[in-house]
Amino acid sequence: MHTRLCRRPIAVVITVLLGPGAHAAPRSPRATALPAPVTVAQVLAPGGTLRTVVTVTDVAADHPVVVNGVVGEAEADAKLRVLLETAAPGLHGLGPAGAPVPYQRVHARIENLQHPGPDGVVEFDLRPHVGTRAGNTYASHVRLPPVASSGDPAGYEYRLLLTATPAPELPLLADALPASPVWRAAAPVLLVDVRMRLGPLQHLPRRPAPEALALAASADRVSGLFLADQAAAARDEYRANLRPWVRASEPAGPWTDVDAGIVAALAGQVHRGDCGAQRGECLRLLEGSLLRAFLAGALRELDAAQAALATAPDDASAAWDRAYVLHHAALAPFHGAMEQACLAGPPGAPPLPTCALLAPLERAFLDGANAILDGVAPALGAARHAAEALLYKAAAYATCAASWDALGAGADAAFQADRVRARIHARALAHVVGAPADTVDGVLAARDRAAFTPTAAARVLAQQRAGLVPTWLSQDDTCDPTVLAGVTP
Amino acid sequence: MIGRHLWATAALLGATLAAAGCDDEFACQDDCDASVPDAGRDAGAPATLVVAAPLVLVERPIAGGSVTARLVLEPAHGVDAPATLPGGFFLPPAADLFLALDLRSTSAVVGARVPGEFAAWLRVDAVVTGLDQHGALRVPLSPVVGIADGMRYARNLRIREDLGLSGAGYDVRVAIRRPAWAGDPDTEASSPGLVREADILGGETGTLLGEVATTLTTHFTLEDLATPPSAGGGAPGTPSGGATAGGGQGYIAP
Repeated sequence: MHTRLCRRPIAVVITVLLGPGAHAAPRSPRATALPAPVTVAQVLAPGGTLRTVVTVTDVAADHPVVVNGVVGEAEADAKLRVLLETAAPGLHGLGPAGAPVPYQRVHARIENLQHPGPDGVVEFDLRPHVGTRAGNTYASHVRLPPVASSGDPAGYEYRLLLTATPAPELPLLADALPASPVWRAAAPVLLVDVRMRLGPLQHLPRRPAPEALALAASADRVSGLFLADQAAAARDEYRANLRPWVRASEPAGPWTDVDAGIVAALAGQVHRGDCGAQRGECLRLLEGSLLRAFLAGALRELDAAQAALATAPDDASAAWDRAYVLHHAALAPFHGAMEQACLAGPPGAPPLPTCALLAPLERAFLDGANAILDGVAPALGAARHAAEALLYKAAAYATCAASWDALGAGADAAFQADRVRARIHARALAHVVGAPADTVDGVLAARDRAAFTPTAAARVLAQQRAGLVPTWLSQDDTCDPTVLAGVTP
Repeated sequence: MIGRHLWATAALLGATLAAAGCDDEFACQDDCDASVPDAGRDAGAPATLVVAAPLVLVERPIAGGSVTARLVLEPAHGVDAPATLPGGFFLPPAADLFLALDLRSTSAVVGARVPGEFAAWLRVDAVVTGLDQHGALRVPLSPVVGIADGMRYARNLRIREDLGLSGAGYDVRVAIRRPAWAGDPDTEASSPGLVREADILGGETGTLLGEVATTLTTHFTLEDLATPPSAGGGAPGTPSGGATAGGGQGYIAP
């Protein structure tokens, strides 16, 4: 979603499974046999275009056996499997939805969270596997860290990081997918960052709700058509497939302008028809308004899930699944920027000490799915709070990063586009920050660069932080407003 | 945004060409890559063949009907990266044809999960023989990806320079070999070594995972290239070998 204006949607599903097998591979004496596969992650990334499903199963009779990425008959605790597939047809040149993504180097890093230090970490590349039931996946048997310990791995909690890098010798035709994170990634793409246990079976949301995926796909079409200068077709797509849902999801309150923002952007009517050079302001308004629509829709589904828990658990589960997809649509633009900030530091944007989105998002929805299955309202409430907080964290970060960009922009067109981006994300937080119209619009609505000073922008961030901390976020989850003081064009 | 894509593409292309020792994609001399054969060069002849439209050479089910193979000739394609592959330069100077093999599963069997998914990790080699000159051009087809046609096994060819114009046409023979297995000595980047799971062991025979290579044979003429028959009608030439009873592979060379 975040890149809907600049690249085609790709849905990737990653599944990691440790599944039952013929026990031909030697199981470590320390490991308890897993009676059933444990799905430890099922996420949409990057950008919501691929689905990754990660499963852990018992040791299996593979030919040959691979343990921690190495061919051999070493003792293993379990088998780790990653299914990497497209989430929609025609993405990345991979054919139908559900088609596996080949020619990737999938790298796993597993940390034992109770054993910090070198002994508590193993890293290896998964190998392509083929099976009748599982299809084409990336997998390896695994001896969990510390490998020399005699403790049962089921007693530990692990952090699993999976990244993917395209095979180095894959030719890309000249028309090939200019911004595809699958084929063009210059650095490893983070697929999964999740905590896992091999003990109690965990429940995940069901497969993503098709109606919610259809909304995300329509939003991508709207963006793509507008980007391709087909504004009339973009408007038709919006009216036919998105607008009723956007209007129904639009939050009550002083700024019920999501639909209005989209319509204005599609009509090129921002600032009485002046979208700025290359329509930058209209593009940003459209992109930001669509994200706001998904944010509002996700919040509505969270409400619905909580309300239905006592009387209609199936309805609650369905709403929770829709919320999961809408969260991904709303947060996808930030996966790259924020996760990379975690991994390597941000490229010219204010850093956040806690920048991760994917791992806490998966955890929140896993916890919520368990709560619904168990019928435990307080647990669902906690999961809902965590999921909602992530939406606000992303919006606050986007306000901060866009303000940073605007303050440092050279050309006026770039400044105006970044200013609009900051404004639209600030507006998304209006209902929690508390009617900051005077501050936000007094700063971010001004097209006069003289009014957009580091001090004024810092006021906006300070007001956001005051509204979000500590109810929703920690200090470390939000930008320090003082970082803007040093930004100069 | 589009401009950014073009810029990124140009940057990638530039990096690729720089890595190959070339200043410009179309200014490469033959010594840009020593692996590019230079036989048969005729400075007085036209530099390229004219390909009026994609020419479908073969479009048939293979591997017992579990996979559809579509072998096609197209004008030479530009490529972003990488330029140099096992077997030579992907876009050699004066490349005039693009030979591409699409392999799509027809059902969720033999490792496929959804119909239409690309059959990956295979090793594909092509031999093009000029019937007049009796020369042969042998190249591996690498997995490539593009927007228009998705993933295929493909390669640019220098028919004019390497084989010369053949009035009698050209034979094309494409051999599809199973993936390299993990632990095999002959793994490569596009087939790095697959692990077979227990439920597929023993069931590979007759599929693209079997030990016997599947071979497609056909031929085309210069006239076919200039006025290709309608797509979907199958090959202009007749595949030799025919289906092998019980083998499950549509075209197994004798």
